[in-house]
Amino acid sequence: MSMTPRENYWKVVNHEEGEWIPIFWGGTNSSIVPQHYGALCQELGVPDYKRPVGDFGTVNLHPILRERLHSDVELLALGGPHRRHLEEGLIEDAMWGFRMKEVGGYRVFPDQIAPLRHAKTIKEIEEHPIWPNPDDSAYYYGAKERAQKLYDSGKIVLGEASYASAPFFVYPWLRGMDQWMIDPYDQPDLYRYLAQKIIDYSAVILERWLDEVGEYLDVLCFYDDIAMQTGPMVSLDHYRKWILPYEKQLTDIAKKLTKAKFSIHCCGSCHDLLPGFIEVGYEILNPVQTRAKNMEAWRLKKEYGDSLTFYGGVDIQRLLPFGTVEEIRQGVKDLINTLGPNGGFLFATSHNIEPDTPPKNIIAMFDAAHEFGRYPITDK
Amino acid sequence: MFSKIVKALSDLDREKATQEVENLIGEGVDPFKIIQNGIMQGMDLVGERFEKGYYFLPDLIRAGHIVDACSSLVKPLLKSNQSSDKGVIVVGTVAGDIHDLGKNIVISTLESAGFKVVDIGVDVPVERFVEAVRSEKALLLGMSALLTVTMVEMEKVIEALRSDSDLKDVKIMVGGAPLDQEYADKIGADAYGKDARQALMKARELLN
Repeated sequence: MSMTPRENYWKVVNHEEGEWIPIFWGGTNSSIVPQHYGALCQELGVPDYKRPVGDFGTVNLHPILRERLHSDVELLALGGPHRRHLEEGLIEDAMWGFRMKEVGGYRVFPDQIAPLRHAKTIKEIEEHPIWPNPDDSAYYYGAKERAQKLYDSGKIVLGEASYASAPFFVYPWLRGMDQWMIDPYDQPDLYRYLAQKIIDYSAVILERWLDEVGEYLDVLCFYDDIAMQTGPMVSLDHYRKWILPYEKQLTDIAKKLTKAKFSIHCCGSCHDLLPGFIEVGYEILNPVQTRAKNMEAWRLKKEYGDSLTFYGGVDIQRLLPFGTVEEIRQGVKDLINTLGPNGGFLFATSHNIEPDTPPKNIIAMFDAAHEFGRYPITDK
Repeated sequence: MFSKIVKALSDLDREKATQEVENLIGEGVDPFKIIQNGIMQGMDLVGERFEKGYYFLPDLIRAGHIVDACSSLVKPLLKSNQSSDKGVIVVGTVAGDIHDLGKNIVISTLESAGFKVVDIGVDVPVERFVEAVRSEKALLLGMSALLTVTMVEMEKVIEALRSDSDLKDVKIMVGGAPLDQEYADKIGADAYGKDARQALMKARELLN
């Protein structure tokens, strides 16, 4: 191996064949759910793993796990103030004041307890007690030193600006999912006001954070999640009118402060929204849920292989939890043969690995990626 | 007579739809027919447009709100037995799972088709499903799950119902993103509803 993971990544993400297909194991998504992290650590004999941290996927993967499972990435996440634990198991976010609950080991954000659910006026939005304080040093503490250190490792540095890069996670968590969807029709002024307010705060934090770390990043992650298993939640027209203009404000700012490629996380069948994503400036798609409608690897590669890099793809709904080791190896091989040629593929799972997945399957998957993901890709 | 409601509802025009319902009520049209031939047909069309990809979730939610507004005008006029003569359907999201968007869409669709639906909420344990089916004398149970981790709960509920001599014949329908027909068959459900429209079709088949 003569290239560093970073050098190799930049070839691949620019749609050229590097030495190998980068293995993206260690972001906030396409990771493993916290409640299953211990089982994987035990299987691999990691002696001193810490309590897993993460709302969805474990973000503090132990170095032994990264090493053993061939990870090419290091995660650099935005800091932030501590959350408050309220009664009845509710947790209140200290950045935006939305509330979450743990059910079955998962963080959920029930519409019924969204703090701005019943707001009818801009005044009521203004009265929401918790908004981010961009001057809070907790967001940026030690970021530059850590970024520099990760950069020096030669690994790919994955920047996650958390809920300063997920405006349309924040909106539905403040308003409720259903309200978020119909506000543009029922209360368009309120929608514009709240969406812009979220962007304004996000932009300042993102800008200050990127001032510190932008030069060290290889990937910068943004979040959307506006698709389901069967199709997008909203039309491309809706996306272009009500979502894109806000998201683009963030990518426009980020573009000035980092050379990193921008990744958009959108679960489910987002195929029909991809033209919109490209207009925003996203160049990497995560988590590529290949079991969802129109999201087959061959289709994505054929239609968007030149304009998007695919970060994800290994089916975590059926193949990984229920497949045999042999089936998983074959699935990995097929995925690599489909998405790998001419670059544009970052190997990862189609979301966080779920608790019903046997650890041996996880290991088999990464080992197969390491084995088959060598350029040139030939049908091995 | 009903085409104006159907059109207004399927075009998501709340004002026109409710106005037209009021007009028909004023003309003394049978309220059940307003639901059946007007509101329901309109919702069918919305469902069809959703299925074909012309409509999206915001449109379904808006349609749901219009249906609520229209139904609230008509419902007080219905004779009490009319809306429940198709039998009671109990619907809930299984234990460990709090996702309810899909479940709620299914419920509004079933209700606007004239079914009496008892929504027992989210994160529902096995015993609560059994208890609700028993106390409501339900003919059909609908279960929803969004996660592969929680969909296994459905099998436990089905086992519990099938092993209860009073409840073993209750029909069971399942749905949710990680499911498919194959899984529904495997766990012994009577039907699988891919989406709200299919759920309604299957409910009609099962209860006829």
